[in-house]
Amino acid sequence: MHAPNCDIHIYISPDGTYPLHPGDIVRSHPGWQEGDALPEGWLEVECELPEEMPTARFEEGADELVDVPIALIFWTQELAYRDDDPTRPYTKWSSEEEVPMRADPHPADGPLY
Amino acid sequence: MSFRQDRTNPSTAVSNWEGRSETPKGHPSTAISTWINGGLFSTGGDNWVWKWFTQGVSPGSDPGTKCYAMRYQVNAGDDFLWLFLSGGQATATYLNMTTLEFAGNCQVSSVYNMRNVTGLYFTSWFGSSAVGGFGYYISGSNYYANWNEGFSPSSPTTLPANYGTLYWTLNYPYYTVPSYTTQNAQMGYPGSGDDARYFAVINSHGGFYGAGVASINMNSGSGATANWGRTLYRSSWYVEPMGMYSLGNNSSGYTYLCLGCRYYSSQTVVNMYKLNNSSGTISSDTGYGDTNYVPWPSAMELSNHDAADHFYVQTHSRSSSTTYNHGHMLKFSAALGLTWQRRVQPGSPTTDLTTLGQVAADSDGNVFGMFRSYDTQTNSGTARDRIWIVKWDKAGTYQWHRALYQTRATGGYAMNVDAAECTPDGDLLLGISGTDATQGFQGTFFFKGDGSGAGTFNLNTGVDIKYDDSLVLNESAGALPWAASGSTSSGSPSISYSQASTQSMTPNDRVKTDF
Repeated sequence: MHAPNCDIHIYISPDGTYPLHPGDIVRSHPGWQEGDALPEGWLEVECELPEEMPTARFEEGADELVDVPIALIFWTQELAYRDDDPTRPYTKWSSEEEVPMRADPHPADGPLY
Repeated sequence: MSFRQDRTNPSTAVSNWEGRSETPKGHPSTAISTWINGGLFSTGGDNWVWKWFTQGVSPGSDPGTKCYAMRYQVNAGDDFLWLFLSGGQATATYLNMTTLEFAGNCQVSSVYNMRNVTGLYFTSWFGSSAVGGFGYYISGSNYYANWNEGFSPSSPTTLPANYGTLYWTLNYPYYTVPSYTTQNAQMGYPGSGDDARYFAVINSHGGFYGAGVASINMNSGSGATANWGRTLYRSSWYVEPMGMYSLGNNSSGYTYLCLGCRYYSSQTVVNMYKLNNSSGTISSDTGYGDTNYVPWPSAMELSNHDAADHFYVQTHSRSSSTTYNHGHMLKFSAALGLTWQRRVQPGSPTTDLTTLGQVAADSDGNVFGMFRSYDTQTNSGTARDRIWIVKWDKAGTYQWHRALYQTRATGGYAMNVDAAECTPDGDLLLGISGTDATQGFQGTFFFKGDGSGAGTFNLNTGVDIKYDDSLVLNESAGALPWAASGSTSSGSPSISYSQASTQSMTPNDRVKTDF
């Protein structure tokens, strides 16, 4: 697994739209660049990540490319606010584990949905 | 393609001509009535100018003669449009964009039933110019990802040579991929001046599928060897390469991949990877999607503008918080930072939206997204495809949308955009195919202008195509959430290599039809 990092910038616009990105600020404020002070009303969402974000859990000694994992780990990120400062949004990650299905995950012919 | 006035009649400005009466001036050596749009469109006529069709294809026939890839080539003298066609064999042909005549074609694979040739590109291979492509074929129970590259030995410095018969040497390493899958091999661009080539295929690991990425070295045609191989995967998931570009050289360049990652239908993620060309190790990666927003990518497009590389990724998504599926366009920087994302959804009637496997971008950074709805409400109860083309500028500002569909009261079913390309002038070229009630068709449409016109034209007997600017498409900020990355492994790719004999093929007649 590649180590997760916070090379990402997510913003909330003055009307509360989330998630937005650097280009969204530039579109509404031409000339703005990353590193500049945010335009009035915009908030940057602080990046917070777990140290590791594995997507599966295996028995010790298992070959990840061959063996079926004990559990799959699904990560979900949501917008949250600091308990001590409700004006500071951050990325809050949570995970759920699930026993993998054994059926072939290959999609059937046709569109995914 | 914009109408090149300097190449047609230098004494007159085409823009001053009076519609049909003066269009024969367009090319003095060709009967314009055979190719120019006599009817034009009702809203100004600055739209379609040419089409090429094969008709009478049986509905549902596969693969037929379909244009799977196209690349516009600026050439000294006349520009060319290269088309990769798949039928009983894979054929590359090129169209002279001044005369709108096919200038030559050749068989690029001796393999019967070569399919889905993608990743058409130009390269320089030990001093010779070449055009290559990547497709797959089936032999017995195995699928082979087959990489082709050919060149004209009689004209080693200029491609294409404008003569009717090409002689190509075929060199194709091939990579055995799992059976029981619809292979979606993607080809990266080769590094400038390098002998390395890069590709990605679906790779089976028994209980799941990953994206196998490989770098191979052509060794100046003396036998391919593997540089490195890597699998990008999520255990128990299905991972498919949906787009790929290799930029820079083999020592300091990067290979970019867009992956569709799916765990059944409960969760999907769009993953972007930036790999070092030298070793295949990960330089950076990112992803979008979760169990609520379930996106699936269909295409990735490079756009170099403002002295930097950018990547557009087109997806659609299902969301538990919305009634209908959306289409999305995402723009990434070369560092894989998400610059912006936008989404669209048809209205009046509101329907689900999926994406097509094509997206086009011009040198100014404008991007043309291509989506599809399956409309059962406005065609007398008969379902049919409706193609939506949406243009954003480089900043993500919505420009316009158009809907492309058949207009028969009954029948008139499927349409697809199989290939798309922008010219350096920002004009949009589309290769489309489909079926109506009685027969299939494949065609290549050429926009004169940027595709913003509208109108109706006859497709073939009894079938009209409408290019419509009146239907509602709602556009808004994107909503795909940041997602976790997948896993990777390293290893050596399994590469086999063969070299076919030189082959020749005389150009076939192509039918140009007025409309």
